[in-house]
Amino acid sequence: MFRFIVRRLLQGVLTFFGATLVVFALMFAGQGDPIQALAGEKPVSASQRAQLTERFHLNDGFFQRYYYFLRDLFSGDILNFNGQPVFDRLGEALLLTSKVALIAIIATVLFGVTAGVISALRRGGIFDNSTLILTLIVIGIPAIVLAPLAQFIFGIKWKIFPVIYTSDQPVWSLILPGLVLGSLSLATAMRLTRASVGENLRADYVRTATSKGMTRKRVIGVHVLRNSLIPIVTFLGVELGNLMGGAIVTEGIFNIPGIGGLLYRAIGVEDGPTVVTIVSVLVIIYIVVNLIVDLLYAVLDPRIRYE
Amino acid sequence: MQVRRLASWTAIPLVAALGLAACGSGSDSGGSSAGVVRIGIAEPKHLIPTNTSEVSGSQVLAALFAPLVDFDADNKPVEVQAESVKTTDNKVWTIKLKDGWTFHNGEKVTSDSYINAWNYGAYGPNAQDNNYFFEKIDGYAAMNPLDPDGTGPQTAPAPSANKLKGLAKVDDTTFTVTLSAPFSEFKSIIGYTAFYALPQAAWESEGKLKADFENAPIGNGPFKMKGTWKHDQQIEVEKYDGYAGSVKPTISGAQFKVYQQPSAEYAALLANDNDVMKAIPAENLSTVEGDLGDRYLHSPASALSILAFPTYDKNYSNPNVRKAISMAIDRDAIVTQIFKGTQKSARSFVSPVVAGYRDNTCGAACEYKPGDAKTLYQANQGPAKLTISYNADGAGNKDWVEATCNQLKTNLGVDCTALAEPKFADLLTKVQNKEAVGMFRMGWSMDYPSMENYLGPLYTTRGSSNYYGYSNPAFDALVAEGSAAATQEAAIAKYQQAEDILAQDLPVLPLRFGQNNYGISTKVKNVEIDLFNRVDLMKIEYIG
Repeated sequence: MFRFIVRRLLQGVLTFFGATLVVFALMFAGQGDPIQALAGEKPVSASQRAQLTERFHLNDGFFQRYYYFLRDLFSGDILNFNGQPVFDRLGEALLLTSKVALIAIIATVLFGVTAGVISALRRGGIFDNSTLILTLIVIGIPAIVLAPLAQFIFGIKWKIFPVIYTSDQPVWSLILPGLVLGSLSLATAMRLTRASVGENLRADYVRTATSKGMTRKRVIGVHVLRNSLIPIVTFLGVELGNLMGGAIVTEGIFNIPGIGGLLYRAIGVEDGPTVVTIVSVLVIIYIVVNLIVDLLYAVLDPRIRYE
Repeated sequence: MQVRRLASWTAIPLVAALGLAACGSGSDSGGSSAGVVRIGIAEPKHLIPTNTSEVSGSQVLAALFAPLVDFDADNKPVEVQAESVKTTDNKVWTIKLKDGWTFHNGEKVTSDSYINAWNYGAYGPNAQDNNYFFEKIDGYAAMNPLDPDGTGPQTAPAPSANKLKGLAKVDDTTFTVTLSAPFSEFKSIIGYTAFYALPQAAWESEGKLKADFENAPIGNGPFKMKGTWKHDQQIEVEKYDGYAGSVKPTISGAQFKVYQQPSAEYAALLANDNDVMKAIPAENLSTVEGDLGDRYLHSPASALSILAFPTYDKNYSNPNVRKAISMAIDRDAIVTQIFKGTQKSARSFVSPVVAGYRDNTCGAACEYKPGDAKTLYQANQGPAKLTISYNADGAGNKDWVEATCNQLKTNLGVDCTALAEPKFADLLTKVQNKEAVGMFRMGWSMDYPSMENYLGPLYTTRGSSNYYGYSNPAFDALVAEGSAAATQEAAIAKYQQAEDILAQDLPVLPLRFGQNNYGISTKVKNVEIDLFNRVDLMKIEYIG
């Protein structure tokens, strides 16, 4: 197991460098005039241009700039094009985005998996059919429609939740955006669970267990559920990464100063250091989460051994 | 493995989530307490006076700093921090400060507070956004040597000075400013954000600003910082009891909340969670009157939208072709249909907010006469294909540019393409390289209320925002004469003559004057938004 982890971490290092190189190359290739982008619709003086060009090595070659970027990234004092430290902004933004993503994941596990199990057990019943239709609708509505709708109904009309994120109600005001964000993966998780549990219910080992005289509760709770969780854990692992990166829409609508908004604005002003740093951090999160998912397999299914 | 262990595995993320959720709570006090108004802004770029050129940052700085002069109802400069601003020849200006003013840390406001701050802003290598505001002061050139070949491979030489020669201290409350050429409107310029004073505490060493100063700027204004700048979240200020100004605010503080998107801010306004939203987003214009009723307000703004011609392109070099295009555009229709009446159609080259503005200086060229336009266009063999470039990052440009193109198609019988550039920077790069972009959109908001601030940067040969290559020596001479004129009246007379030349040459077409369209909550009254799109914090009142 230990060797497996070490091997995976080494692979992670390679993935990290590969991914940052690609993103850096894309930023580099697609770059117009970052100094003018920063100044907006105002004129830029020659001396200001010269100063910023030198400070951010804008005239240097690709590999030189990639080297400067890596050097600054690892020494921790990487500056954005406004001259402010990237990591100062990143830490808080990451924390907020993680909170929203975790609320989304918890909602997915609580409602999605539970509903999936119930549907599978009562296949063809009223609950099954109604949740199927409901998930179809939810999957069909993109977040960009769902989020303002939820904000309008629950925030402005019924005043159940705060309209936007406020720092004096840090948890309460994140519930609604978290639920909106989670609703998409909730639907997928529910259908995945339903299919997986449904399949396992017909498996030989279930029939064996039942004929042995085991209670139905134990058969489902221990045998069926544990075997059915493997695809769901895989899905959730990938989904956590997606939620971290894909929160741009939800964060904008609920005014959460998270990673999504930071990334969106950095791309807008062609702020290479910020964009590549954020992507690098997201890559690390992906790598770590996927490693955890792989380790969870072994926990769920004792037949899986990593050497 | 037992069920218990399985449960412990699923419990880990739950515990982590609760832990994460717990660490952020408690520390902030963001809600509206008595007398604190909440104003929506975007994340400021900087909070250093000489480095702040966008509205969000200058809104915050206007709370923290007092200007030398402010503008009255007629947009004439009136002294605030200055006791007097005097000159005899428009070249040497003597600024006397009021005695007894202090910064928020108790430090006295002296001539040095201004001289040090201005020198910092004017020094090229400091790369301040407002650097160009100091260019009229003697000694600026030595601090900002020109690049010998523009954006070419050579680099500019190092500056030979790090102080403005034109600034001289007389005593603790008096200093003189010598300009490199006489300029009658200098008193208006010093009302701008770039000219605030900085305390001794701002400096790490001479000419070097403390790195974290802008996270908690110390000013001499009616409000002081409460805590530090919470990036991407909020900036809070509270009343400064030692403020020496004659007009004092009635509110006890202001909370500038940073909104990521206008839609979020609008939702907060509807829920009464935000007190002032300075610009209603375009997508809400159709419902805003129903949503807010009489809490939806308007005030004049200084913005001017123009359609610029690349005069270096032979397709557009004939003024009669330009006139024909102008006459084929129905400005009023676009204002009502696309902008729902939130802007006003423009037929002059300067905004109505400045002294010296005259209605309809564009004359016959801006009258909507599709028939005459077509005749004139064909007689002058205008190009069969027109293009209007715009930047897609500016909200709402696409709609009106396409509408304008459709009008040109119908009225002139030509082909017209609306061409999007992803960013304004891309458009500027192409224009500066004199690439074929066709006509292009431009906008201008003034830095100080004066006709010169429109005529100089936009249309003079060396104007900082003259991207269309327009050059007319007679026009340049008139603007220069106006700047050197002895009185404001004499200056305006010259500027108006210069404007008349524009009406004949038509390097650009005036299209629309901007307007502040803002919404307020039920908790505030007397909300005024000034020409710089800032909420007037001395007038706003909290009614709870």
